[in-house]
Amino acid sequence: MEMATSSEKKEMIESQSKESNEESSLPLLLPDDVVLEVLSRLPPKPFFRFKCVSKTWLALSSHAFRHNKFLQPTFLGFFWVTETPYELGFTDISGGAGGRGVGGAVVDGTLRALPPHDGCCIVDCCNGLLLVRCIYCGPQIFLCNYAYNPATRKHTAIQWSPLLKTWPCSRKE
Amino acid sequence: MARSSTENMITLMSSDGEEFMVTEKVARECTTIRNMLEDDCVITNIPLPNVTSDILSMVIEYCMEHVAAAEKAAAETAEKGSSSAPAAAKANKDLEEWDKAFMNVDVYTLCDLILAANYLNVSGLLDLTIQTAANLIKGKSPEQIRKTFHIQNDLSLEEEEKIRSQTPWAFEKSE
Repeated sequence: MEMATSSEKKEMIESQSKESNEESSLPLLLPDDVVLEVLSRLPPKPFFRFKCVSKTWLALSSHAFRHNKFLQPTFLGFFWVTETPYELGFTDISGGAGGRGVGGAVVDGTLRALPPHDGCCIVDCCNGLLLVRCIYCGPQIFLCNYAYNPATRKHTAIQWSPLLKTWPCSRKE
Repeated sequence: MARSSTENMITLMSSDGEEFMVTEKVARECTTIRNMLEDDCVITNIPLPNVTSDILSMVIEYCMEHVAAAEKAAAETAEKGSSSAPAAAKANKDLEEWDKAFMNVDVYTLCDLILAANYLNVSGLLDLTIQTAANLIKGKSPEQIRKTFHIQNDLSLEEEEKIRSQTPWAFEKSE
């Protein structure tokens, strides 16, 4: 309990210093786990802006990075193809991410998650998606194109165009 | 209301000594209180030294609204045998609207509500308040965030410049 006889002057000084203390910031007021939860819900841009608000927020943001659902590590790498013999692979150059993406998934470098087929090749790629052409040998040979995401291993069959009659096993540059 | 007389009433006492009578069902929305009740079922008076009367009344308001909405949905399901999807969707939307209006508070109240929701462990309210805080931060520049939350910038110019240069795209004007 503070003494009730404190002078007005002292009270004024106290209220002034209190005012600056009461410039209470969100992280000062809130427990860290709550602030981390706030941070985990920020999209990338606001998340990085958050870092230069104050030292406390900067410190919290480095902890929050791995909790942020928008900032999971991404892949960095490339697919390669050799012509003779025909071979296909994925080289990961992400370093720290270790080829692991959202949910710890690993890039399907050999396209083995596509439906069973007798041969395939990458025709094109764009924004992390591959256009893969698969060949099926049977009584009749037929081809099927897939848009394939090697990170999520999801694919969609794309309508066969009768204009594509050849079997291009490497992309024409 | 007739039903509430047969229900167990519980008194919640705020840090400033105000008493709030609520039904056990409403009090059970707070996981912290639910655990207390389960440990000792004869408890009828619960002091909450971390929550002021203003904030406690808001928390109770939130819990009552959500209990009422859940009861209404349960009653409708029991009446018709199965819940009709459009009615349930409308009820959900109404509750969302209510939540949105409920979150029309200043930053200090919001922080106090987060603290209370965290302490009393009201998961719905905690989720709502944290999302509201995140939304407050989203569209703002560092200067605006500091102003909103009354934060002093204790980073030196060099430090701030360094952080900004690491991710310049985050500081572009367009959102």
